[in-house]
Formats: sequence, C-alpha cells, structure tokens
Amino acid sequence: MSARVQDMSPLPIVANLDDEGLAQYEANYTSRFKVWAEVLERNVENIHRGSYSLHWMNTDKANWGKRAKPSSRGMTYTDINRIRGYGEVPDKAEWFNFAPRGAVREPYRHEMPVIEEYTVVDKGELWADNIITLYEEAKARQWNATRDIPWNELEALPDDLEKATCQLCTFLTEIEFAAGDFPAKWMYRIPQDFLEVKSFLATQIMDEARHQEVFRKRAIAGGGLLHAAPGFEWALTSILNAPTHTMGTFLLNLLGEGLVLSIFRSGEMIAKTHVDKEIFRRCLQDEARHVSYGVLEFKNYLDTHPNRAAAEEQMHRFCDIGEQVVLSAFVEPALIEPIAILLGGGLKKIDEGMGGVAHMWRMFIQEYLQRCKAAGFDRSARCTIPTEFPWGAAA
Amino acid sequence: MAKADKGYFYIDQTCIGCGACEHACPGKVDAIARVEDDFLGRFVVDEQDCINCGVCIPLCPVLCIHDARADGLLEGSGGYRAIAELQAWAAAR
Repeated sequence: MSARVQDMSPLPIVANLDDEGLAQYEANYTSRFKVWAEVLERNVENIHRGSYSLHWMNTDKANWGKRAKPSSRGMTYTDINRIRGYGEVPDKAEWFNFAPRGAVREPYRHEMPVIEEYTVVDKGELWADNIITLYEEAKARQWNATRDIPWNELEALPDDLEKATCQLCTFLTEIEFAAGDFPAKWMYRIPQDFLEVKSFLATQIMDEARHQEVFRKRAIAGGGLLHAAPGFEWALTSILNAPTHTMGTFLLNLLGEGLVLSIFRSGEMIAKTHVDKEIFRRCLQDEARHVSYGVLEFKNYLDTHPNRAAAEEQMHRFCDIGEQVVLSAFVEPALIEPIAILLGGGLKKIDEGMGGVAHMWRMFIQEYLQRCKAAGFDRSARCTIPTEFPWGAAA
Repeated sequence: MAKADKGYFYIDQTCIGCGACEHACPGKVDAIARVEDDFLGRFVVDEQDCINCGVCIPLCPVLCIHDARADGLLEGSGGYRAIAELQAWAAAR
C-alpha cells in the first residue's frame, strides 16, 4: 500500500520552472514522502497482522497525571500552563511540525515532517507578556456585525455628512483588509510551540474581518462605498512587506492600528448617528487589544535582544521609513477631508473641522510617542512626523 | 467576609481599554471591570476587591495602572490625555 505514496506524482505547480528547478522540486517531493511511506507501510503491516501497538499508553516520557484545574474564569491557557511540561515556552522553537508542546514527540523526531515556512523561531520576535490575557479578552468581547449593530435604526443624514461617513468607511475598509492579511501572513510562519501567539493572531484576523464587514455594511447601508485611496494603499503594502515580524507588528499594531485607535476614540465626535457611535465603540475595543499586543511585543523584542542598543538603532532607521505610513494617511484627502466635514458638521464648515483634525493629529503623535516610550523606545527626538498639523503652512 | 484593607492599585484615565488587566486579575478576586457607559471602554479597579497583587501592572501597554502608596493618585499623563483637548474643542462649538 505504501507504494501508493511513493508512486504518487508531485502536484502540478503554478510557477514556471526550468528543467533543473523541476528536477529539484520532484526530488524534494520524493525525499519527503519516503518517510511517510515507511510509516504507512509499518502501520498497514500491523493492521494486516492484527497486531496492537498501544505504545501511546506508555506515560514514561509524558507529562501525565497532573490534572489542570479551571480557575473561576474557566480553563484558561494560564491554568493549563501551570502544569509542569506544558507551560515552558521555548526561547527558540525547535519543532517545525504540528506536534503539541508537552506531548511525547522526541522519539518521533526523525519521522516528523518539517514545515519550512515556520521561520519566526525566536520568542523574542513574537512574544508579549500580555498575550494570554489579551486572547481571553478577545474571546470574551467578540461581537457580530450582522446582529449587534442596530441597523434598522440608522438615521438618514444630509448628503454631505452621509458622503463623508461613507468615504471614511471606504477608507477604513481598505485598512482592515491589510490589517487582516498581515497577521494571517505571519501566523503561518510561527511554529506551534508559540501556540498562545498563534491563538491571539487568529482572533486579530477575525476582528479585522468583522471590521471590514461592518464598515462595508455601513457604507452600503448609507449610500455606498466611495473612493479608494491609492496613495495610502502604498503605505499599507509596506506593512505587508515589512522584513521581520517585529518590524511589521510595529508598523501595523503599534503605529497603524494606533492611528485607527485614535480615530475610533474620537468616534463620539466624528460619528453623526448613534449607529455609527456603536460601530466605533465596538471596533475601539478590538483595536485596543491589537495596539496592546504591538506595544508589549515590541517591548519584549527590545528587552530580550542580545544587543539592545543595536536593535534600537535599527528600529529607529526602520521608523524613519515606517512613520511615512502614518503621514501618508494623515495627508490623504480621502481620510482627512471627510473627518473634517464630520467634525465640523457639514461641507460648509470644513474649515472649522480642520481645527478638529489638527487636534487629532497632535493627539495621534502624542499617543504614538507614548506607546514607544511604554515599550522602552524613546522616539520623541527622532520622530519624522511634524507634531503639529501643517495645514496651510505654505499659504 | 469583607477584606480588611482596601486595594491601593488604580487605573488612571489614560486607559485604552485593551482588557489585558481584566483577565490578569486572579479569577476569585475579579477586581477589574469595564467602566459602564464609557465610550472609550476604560477599566477600573474595585478597591474593595483588589488584593494588591500587582499582576496586572506589567501587562498594561500604556502604563496606566498605579500603586497609590508609591505614586499618590494621578490623573494620568502622556499621549492618551490628548483626547481631552479634542473633546473640549468639540464641546466648545
């Protein structure tokens, strides 16, 4: 029967390979599947002989016998991590397959597949000390964009305010797509030994899916989606293309989602209907978790880096570029003009509303610098974004 | 039976509402809760229930949880106070 595995042909691949590349691909395929075939053959023989194995009942090398007890909150990761053998998160992952942390896996190492895409192997590149509590909070605060928003109560707005709201929702939808793609991209690169981080990233992906859903629905319920923002899309692309997980998390969670958090925290002033206020209020809770992970992940990265000074300098250089993501947002007319109209109270009061945008700009910069400071990274003297809104500065 | 001492830990107004502290608080203590009807979703420590364990403090991303014995009562400082300026601007219009 194992011949079935050995004789299987590699799946067709989309990429065009030359003869040499194709031969290498087929050789890798054959090599990988050889072990699978051997294990399969052994197991098939046992079945044919009617022979039991029962090796899995041997607890000599298992962390067997100590039962996890739930706390009054239920059974959390913290509760099960208290049991010896399960809660030791390695500084560097060595298992690049699906064998669970704390299971008996060493005897099978040589027969295990290797997931080559698991490239984020250092705890310093992904851990945050609040990751477990943020995961619990995320599960407790999930909401449903279909039923939890009082869509039937959406009030009609004057045309200018409705267009501004729909444009803001269009812009936010673009952001949320990128904000979902980023953790999805990196989650697949994180080995299973960091299961707490993978679990949290899964909630972040769900949060972002719900956010793009709710803003898309709000726009289409109020008139429709309006204009995409090409300038800002380049900034979003730079988040996805960040060279490391920590750099990308800094860009997305600390900087980008920080900006979005600032917008949502201003939702009481920006939103013109109680339905919109409810949307902002709910999204705000989700974004706060993402920002929280971003800050403490960055703090953990710096605190555990063997050469902190070098790591900080590298991050400063990265920030010189990364901060342009936020600048790209704050100079984007598809964002600041609708916000100014909403803050001002109409198109005729857009100039007044720009005063509010100036406050938001200042607020964002201060919040961003505080996040950096909380992570142990003083960016105040090197921040490339003007601390004051330069509206009309050249006039 | 009521606890003899009140808790000393408190959350200042710069809380962003991420909730990391809420689930860090030992389950039987459960001294941290969301402020009712607060748009910003901030949290508060119930001083009657807090046991001063301090587990929540290092999990806060904005350093808004304090020990009143060490710091005294603070309103909170830093960036997250800046929204008060926007709120004042909006209220004045």
